[in-house]
Amino acid sequence: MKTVIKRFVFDVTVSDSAVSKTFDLDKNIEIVKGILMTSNKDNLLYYRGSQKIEINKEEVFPDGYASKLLMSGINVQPNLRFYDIGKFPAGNKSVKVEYKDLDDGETAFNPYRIELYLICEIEQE
Amino acid sequence: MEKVATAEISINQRSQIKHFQFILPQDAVRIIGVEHNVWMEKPFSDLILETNDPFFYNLNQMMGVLKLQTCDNTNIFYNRDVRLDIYGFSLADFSTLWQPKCFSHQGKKAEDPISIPVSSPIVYGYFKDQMNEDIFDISDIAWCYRITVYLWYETLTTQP
Repeated sequence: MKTVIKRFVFDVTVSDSAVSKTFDLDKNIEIVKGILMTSNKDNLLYYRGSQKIEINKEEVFPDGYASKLLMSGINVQPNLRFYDIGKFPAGNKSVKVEYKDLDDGETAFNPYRIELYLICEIEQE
Repeated sequence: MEKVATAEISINQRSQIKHFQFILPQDAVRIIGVEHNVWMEKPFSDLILETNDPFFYNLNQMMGVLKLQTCDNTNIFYNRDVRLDIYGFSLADFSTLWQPKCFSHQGKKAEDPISIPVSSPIVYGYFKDQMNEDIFDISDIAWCYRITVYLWYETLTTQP
């Protein structure tokens, strides 16, 4: 098995809104091992974000799961930053994210970009 | 296979106590972790004292006490303070340009590991507000917030 990291990006342009995105993994990806979320405006993702994540139509994180729990700060070693989800089969290779932005009263909304990183294993040729 | 159950509690009164429960599925065999998160309804920074004293700092506010209990002889297996992680990162940092914040300098978040077998599918939860007691001198109204509790468990079912 070979390890690769996949990056998916989507934008949140409206305050207090929900964004639903489905991403396709490469056909040769067999297993998803870890997840990391980050943003170009970390404070908005940290305080306002929550999401549901499904891989292969199987729920990995439930609705309302706080985004801050999937973020890692710069104090963490790069190779330890991913949230370990074990060996999750990629199945039909689809990753669905239902992200919700919710005003916390603390942060001022500006459109922001969310990056979802997946650490995956592909079958060796 | 690892799964997670969630429960959300809303606090809107001083010293409020909330009871809640998780009902785990029949195939749940072991509880393996607990996480929680605080969602403020109003900006907490409105309650923070501003001062020019460079040695003054704000600590992370304690929101309350969370307890979880099973129906078997394990009884109370989780008892912990819930804190709002906003201010603690700048503790003893006197730089004014770029103070560390929780969203940029936090460590890796992970659940509190727990390992107890599930003999009854019901897990009771208890939360008591502490924050509104602490700010009694500053605010005469209760500050509303929500706590989400995530209970990780293992099931017999293997991954598809």
